[in-house]
Amino acid sequence: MNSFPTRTAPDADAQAIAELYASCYGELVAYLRRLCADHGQAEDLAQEAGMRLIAQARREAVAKPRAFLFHVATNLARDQLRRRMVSDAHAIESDFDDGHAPGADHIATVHEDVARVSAALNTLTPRARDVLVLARIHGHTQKEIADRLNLQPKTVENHLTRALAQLGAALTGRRRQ
Amino acid sequence: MNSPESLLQQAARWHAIASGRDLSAEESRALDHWLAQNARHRLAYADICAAAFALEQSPAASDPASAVPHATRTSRPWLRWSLGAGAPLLLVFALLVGPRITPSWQNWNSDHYTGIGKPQTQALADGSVLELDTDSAVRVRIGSDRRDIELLRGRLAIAVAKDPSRPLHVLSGGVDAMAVGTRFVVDRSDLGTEVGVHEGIVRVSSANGEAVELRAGQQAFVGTSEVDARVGALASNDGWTRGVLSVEQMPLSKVLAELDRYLPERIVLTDNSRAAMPITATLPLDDPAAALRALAQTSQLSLRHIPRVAYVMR
Repeated sequence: MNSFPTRTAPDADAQAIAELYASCYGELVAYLRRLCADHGQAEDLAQEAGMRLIAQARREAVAKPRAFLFHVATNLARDQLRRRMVSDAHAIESDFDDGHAPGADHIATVHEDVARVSAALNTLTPRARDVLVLARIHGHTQKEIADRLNLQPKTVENHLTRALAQLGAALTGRRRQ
Repeated sequence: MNSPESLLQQAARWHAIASGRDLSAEESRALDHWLAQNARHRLAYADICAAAFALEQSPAASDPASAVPHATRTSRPWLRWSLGAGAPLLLVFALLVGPRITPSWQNWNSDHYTGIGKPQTQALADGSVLELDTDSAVRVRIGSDRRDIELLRGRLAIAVAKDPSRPLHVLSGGVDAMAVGTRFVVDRSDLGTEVGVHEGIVRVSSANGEAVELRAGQQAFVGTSEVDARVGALASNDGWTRGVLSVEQMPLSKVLAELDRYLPERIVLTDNSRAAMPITATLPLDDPAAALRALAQTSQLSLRHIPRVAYVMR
C-alpha cells in the first residue's frame, strides 16, 4: 500500500480534456448565445475557448478544466462586447476598460482574474462568503442554503447578490481610477 | 441606477437567482429582455459570470478549512494533544491514491474535518481526545453501548477514554478495528486497510472475514477485494502526531506520497526509475514545501513548482 499516486500521462490528460470539451460544448454555446445574442459568434467563441483549453492542458495540468473553459469563453465574449461598445459612438468614452486589453493573453488573464477573486473573497463578510461558497462551489440552491444556515430565502439572495457584485467589481474597474 | 456598480448588482442578482437551478421559461425571457436593453447590461452580466468562473477555480474558495459550518453546530474547545494519564492511543491512517478532489460532500456529512496542512485536535463527548491530521474527515457516534468513529478520509489519532461498557470502534472502509485499551494504527488506501498495533490487543474484523486478534508489534492488511487479514510484523509510523515525517530506508515514492498529503498541489515524480531510491530523513510537516525542497536537494533531483497545481520532481 502507500503506493505513489499514479499520474496519467500528459497526452491522456489532453484526451480527457478534449472529451470534457465535447461533452459540454452544447451548454457552452447556449451560454455564449445568451451572452452575445449571436449564434454564429457563440459557436466561434466556444471553439476558440476549446482550442485554448486543449492547448493549455498540453502545457500543464488544468485543475478545473470546465470552469477554465467557461471562464476563457466568457472573457472572449467580454472582449467582443467591449469592441461592440467601443465601436458604438455613444460609448466611445470606454470607461469599461478593466485592464484586459482585447486580445490580451487569455491564459494570463484567467490567472489574474482568479487571483483577484481570491483576494476579494477575503473582503466579504463571513456570512456572505459562506453563502457564496455554498452556492457557487457546492452548487446549492438558495432554498437549500436558507435551510442550512437558518436564513430567509430573500436574505440568501441578497447575500449572494452582494457577494457576486463585489467579486465582479474586483475583476473590473481596477484601473479606471 | 445607471452607475456601473448598480448594473453589476442587477447582473449579480440574475446570477444569484439562477444559482443551483435552471431559470423558468419566464425568468429566462426576463433575463434575455434585460440583457437586450443595453450593451452595458450584457457586459455587466459577463463580468459577473467571469467572476463566478474565477471563483470556481480559486483554491481559496475550495479550501475545506474555510468551508461552511452548520448553523446548528456547537463549538467545542479544541484541546492540545496530550498523552497524559496513560490514555490508550489509537491511530488511524487513510491513504487515498489518485488525483486530489476536494470532497466537500464528505465534509458536509462529517462531524469533524481538516484542511490540507491544517491538523486539529478536539475533545469528544466521552472524554476521548481526537486528533485529525491533514485533509481528514470523520463521523463520530457516541452511544450508550458503543462508540463509533468512522474515518471518511485521511488519518486520525485518538486517545481513548477508558469505558469498558462502551467499546470504541474505528470503522475504515469495510474494516472494523476495536480498541480494547490499547494503541494502534489504521492505514487506509484504495487497496485496503492496514492495522498496526503498538500496545495491547486489537480485534480486527472485516465484513465477511474471520476476526483476528493482533498483539503489540504485529500488523494486518485487509485488501478491498479480500476477506481475510494477512498478518505480519509492525512497520507503521506515527511521527505525524509529533509534526515530523521520520523515515528510514523508505522508497522515495512513499516519502513523496506522504508529503503530498500536506500540500494543496500534487507531487509528481516524472522519473520512475528513482521511485525506489531509499530515503532516510526526518522532515518537518509544518512546512511541507521546504521539506520537499530539502528532499529534492539531497536526492539530487530538480523540483519545479507550478503554483496551485503541482510540484514536478525529475
